[in-house]
Amino acid sequence: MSDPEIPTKHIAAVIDIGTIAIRMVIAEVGGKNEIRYLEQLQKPVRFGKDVFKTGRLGSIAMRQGVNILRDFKSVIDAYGIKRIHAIATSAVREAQNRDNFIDQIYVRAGIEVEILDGSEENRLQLVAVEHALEGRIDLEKKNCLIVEVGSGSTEMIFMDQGQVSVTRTLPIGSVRLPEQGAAARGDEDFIQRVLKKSIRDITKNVAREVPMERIDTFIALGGDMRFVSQQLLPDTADRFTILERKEFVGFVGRVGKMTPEEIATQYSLDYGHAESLYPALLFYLNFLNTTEAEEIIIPKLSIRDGLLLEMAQVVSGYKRTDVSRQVLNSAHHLGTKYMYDKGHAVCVASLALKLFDSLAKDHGMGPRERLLLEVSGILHDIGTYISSSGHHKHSFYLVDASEIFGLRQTDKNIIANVVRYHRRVPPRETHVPYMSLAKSDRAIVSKLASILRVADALDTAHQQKIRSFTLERSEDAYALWVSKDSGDISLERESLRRKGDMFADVFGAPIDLKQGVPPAA
Amino acid sequence: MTDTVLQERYFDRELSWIRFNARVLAEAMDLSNPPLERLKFLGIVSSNFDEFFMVRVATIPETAPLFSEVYRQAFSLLRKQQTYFREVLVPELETAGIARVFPQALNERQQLYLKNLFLNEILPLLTPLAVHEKRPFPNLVNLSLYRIFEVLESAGQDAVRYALVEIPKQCPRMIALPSESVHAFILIEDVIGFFAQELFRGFMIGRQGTLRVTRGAEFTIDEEKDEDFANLMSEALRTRRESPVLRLEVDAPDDMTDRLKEGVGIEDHQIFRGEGWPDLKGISQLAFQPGFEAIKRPEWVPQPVPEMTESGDIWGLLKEKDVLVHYPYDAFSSFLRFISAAAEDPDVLAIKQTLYRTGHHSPVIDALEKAVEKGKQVTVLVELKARFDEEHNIEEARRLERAGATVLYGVVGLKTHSKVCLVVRREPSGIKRYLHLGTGNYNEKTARIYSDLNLFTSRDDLAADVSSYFNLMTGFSSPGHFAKLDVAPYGLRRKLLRLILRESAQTTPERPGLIIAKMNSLVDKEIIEALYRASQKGVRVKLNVRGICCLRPGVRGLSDNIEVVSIVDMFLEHSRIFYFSNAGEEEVYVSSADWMPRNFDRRLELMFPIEDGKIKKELTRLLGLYFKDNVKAWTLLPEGEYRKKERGDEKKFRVQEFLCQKAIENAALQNKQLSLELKPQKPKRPVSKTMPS
Repeated sequence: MSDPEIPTKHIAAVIDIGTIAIRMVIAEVGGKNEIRYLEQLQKPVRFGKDVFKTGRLGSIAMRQGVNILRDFKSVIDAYGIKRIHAIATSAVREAQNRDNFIDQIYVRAGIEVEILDGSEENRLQLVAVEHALEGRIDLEKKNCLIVEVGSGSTEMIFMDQGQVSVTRTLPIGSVRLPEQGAAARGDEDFIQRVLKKSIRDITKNVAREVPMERIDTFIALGGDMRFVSQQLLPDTADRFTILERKEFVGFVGRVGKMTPEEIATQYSLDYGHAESLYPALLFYLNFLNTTEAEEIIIPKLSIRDGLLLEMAQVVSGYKRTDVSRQVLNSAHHLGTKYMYDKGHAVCVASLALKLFDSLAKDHGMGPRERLLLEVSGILHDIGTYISSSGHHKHSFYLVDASEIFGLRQTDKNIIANVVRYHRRVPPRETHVPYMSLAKSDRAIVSKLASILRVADALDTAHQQKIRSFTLERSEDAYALWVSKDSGDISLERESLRRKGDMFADVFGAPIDLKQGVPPAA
Repeated sequence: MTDTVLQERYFDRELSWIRFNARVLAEAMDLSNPPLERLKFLGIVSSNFDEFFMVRVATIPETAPLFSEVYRQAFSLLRKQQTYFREVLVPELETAGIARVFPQALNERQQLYLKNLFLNEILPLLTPLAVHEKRPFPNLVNLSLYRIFEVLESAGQDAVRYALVEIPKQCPRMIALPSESVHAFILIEDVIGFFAQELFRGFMIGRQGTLRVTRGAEFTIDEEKDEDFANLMSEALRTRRESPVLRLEVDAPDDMTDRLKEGVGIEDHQIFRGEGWPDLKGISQLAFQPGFEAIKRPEWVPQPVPEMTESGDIWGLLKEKDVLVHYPYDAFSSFLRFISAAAEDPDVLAIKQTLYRTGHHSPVIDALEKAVEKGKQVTVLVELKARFDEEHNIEEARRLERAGATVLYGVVGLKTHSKVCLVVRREPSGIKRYLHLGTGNYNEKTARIYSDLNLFTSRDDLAADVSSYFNLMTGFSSPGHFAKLDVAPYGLRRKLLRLILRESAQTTPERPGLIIAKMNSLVDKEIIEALYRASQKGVRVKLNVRGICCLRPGVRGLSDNIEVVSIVDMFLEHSRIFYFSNAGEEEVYVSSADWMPRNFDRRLELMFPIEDGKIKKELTRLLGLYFKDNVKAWTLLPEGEYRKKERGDEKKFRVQEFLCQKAIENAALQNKQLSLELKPQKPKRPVSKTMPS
């Protein structure tokens, strides 16, 4: 990425279209992933009021949003910035007419907006957290819950000894209380009771997978918590602050006694923020109370910083946050939940990757697809938890309905289809979930599924007899050579004969399993 | 002077303001000033009171005891001013060769000259207004001078009728007369009076008089209603003639005065009866006549700041260090260099600036126009609520807008009072921003008379804050977090209260806390109370408040440790500097804001910390100098009186004079340093391509 006009640094603008505010950061990124902030803007909006009531953005809200972005664009233009990354989260994400809004923004403000889904928020949150805590707090030794209570949605990430296990995107937030009745202002006790109950329900549900009492580290992301940290610990120079539980409880208590007007005046906040501050803090408090943590770690970074960091990492190639590792952790956690055969899953995934890499010239796919293949390999058999008959179909809907850290909906759609086609009939025009994919994604599904079938065939006995192979390509055929040490492989050969048909279809030549040393090697 | 309000915890702000003008008047009567310098001060007293009646008196309820007290005290000062002028200054001026000629003393040649002038240039501008019993009284324009005539039918008649003529503003107030030896002039109202017959043909002219009305000018605009602020302001200016008359200055026979009183609807105590010299502000223009050096103060020439103006690489300089510039000792050319360098530099991407009371044909605007032509993004915040200068500001704003700059007319509901300029520059190491932060307007004229501080810096954290501040002012962003700046109305008062409180908390008998603050006005009650508490805890508080001060210093048990001085001298003290000893970790701030509710609550103001150690020391020393002055300094007494500081045996020390001397030395020193620097030829940096917009 060379840009002759800006020799060493890269200026980027990141815009975050949220539920109660549109925010923008302009920064220089580069070198060793440092971010130098040039501008930070925010302007309140009331998107939540529209979307969470009617499901749509009203025309006034849209106009207001477009005007704000036009103003932001003029700030961007002052720097001659070309790299603009604009994302929209919960309220816009859920608005039925979001496409119109995004089109209006493009036409009238010249900014392309991407809808960010919950799992991507998770990914950026983790990038931000890791960068904020870098070297100071070792998450490898902790059981940790990361929470961000947004205005319209709440994100939870559980990390077990540094490994992401479970993630949740919840459709509740500080302007979207679990029961809309609770929004009837004035009755704080009632709001508190509703919150308590609903958060208890959520954590109960999560507790099936994650023992809440083992959580010793509570990390709170989000503007409201950064605000708290600024009020209580204003002079910390670090990229995060640590707040004691009782201090936080005291602060929440004080805020609870104030009217939004008083909060706005006292802390120079705009009314929208002042109004949602207390509910947001109550959310955090209730989450905190479900854990054993005695303190709250508040990173000073946001998902906007996460985006900037990702851009910086792309620019510099320096210390990339290993997101794929966490994606796989999260996939394995899901596998465990459905009692997968881990040995088989790992073996199939690894064989599939080997084949993927060996076929690089033939399929033309990249690292993202490789990751999707690996996740598919891990999860292809989880449907047997329901029933082994037709388990590929069970795998499909289990993947579809689960959250996997760092994967967006389109990614998950591909994985669900790949596991769906890891056995039995290949895709057909009558298969609605397959046909509803984008054309390019259908091609990816076919290629990945055909590779996965071959890998699965090689471990058909679930004994991991074959752990490696060498691919031999001739004019009209592919051959997989495995070593003599693998013993009798007739079962696998038979299986491949049945499952290799799709591979032959997709790659244009049949594939065979051979034992011994390939002639060329 | 005794006022009942003096018994209170605070001084009344209006009366305190009148006292400030008493100090200005004292300066006008100080014989150590040359006559024309004294005349200037007399003019300032007049224009100050004009503004006072328009802006302040309009806000006092007529029923309040203060209302008549204000008139009593103001008129007593104005009477003193008139008497002094007539009895002392006029004879002195005559001795020096500046003399007013009355119509009856005109010689033939002068009469002829004036007649021509009157017929060709004045008469066409005159519009007589008849005062009829049965018609509404004519609407008199605020602050315009009028001549009133008794008009009689040529044949004897009973009813007396009056006519009013507005003295045209386009004409000079004083008309120089052809004469041999002296600078002889005649007042235009005398000329109009003398040739009035030409105006009222077929009538007889009886007695005459002169008058002037002052109207309340505090107007409110429905800012939500109209987005085009410039249009809105023009409208507001026109309606100014509708507001109630608060003062009538008149020099006419009693029956005429009575008729006028009835006509404009005013009480006796609001009438100021003059004696031949109305509107001394106009007359004081004599002080700016060329020549007469013998009776003028030697003109101070602001000293250039060679390190700014001569430096080949101003950006390099500012990357290395902060530069402090002190008007009017240092010259405005330092800022002009900054802004023109920005306009010319191909790597400068954007310039953002507040404009509030720019001068006529401002070179600042020229530079900004040039920057636009060169393709830079120029954003200008023009403040249209600057008192009485709106028409001019609007004109300048339109000019920039036509050139292609983004011109914004202030924030609805808040007056932009801060003075800040931001230059965004693309450099090999990344984006670099350069700032000018000041206490004075971007006006080369006032920069010669107002004492103001200017900081040029490239500090990153300040720059980021200033960017946010512009986004706030332009309405692009809500107030966010500021790392270094403090911004009104978003917490400036709170910050100052915290600083004062911290001083109280840290003070010990061994090491008493110290606050030194210099400002124009101190009115805010919360701040005053905090200062009282600090004083009671043992903090020493030294205040240098030029104008209004509502704090009562030196009252036992209330403010024992507070001292207030006021400096009134040739330059208008205008900078705001605040020092806090902070238990040894001294902090110094400079601000555009006075400690007044309006500055804290209804204006966009800035306070910025001085972080450069050298500059911090310099400002701390400067603050101390103001308390050393024993020539032009006044001490505020617990009862509210100001007393000129007693010198005793001390050596004379006049801070403004001292600073002039120092500026000369500084400039010389910098020149020397610059000429000593070796300047090797450097290969020119390749000019980078301009960015596509």
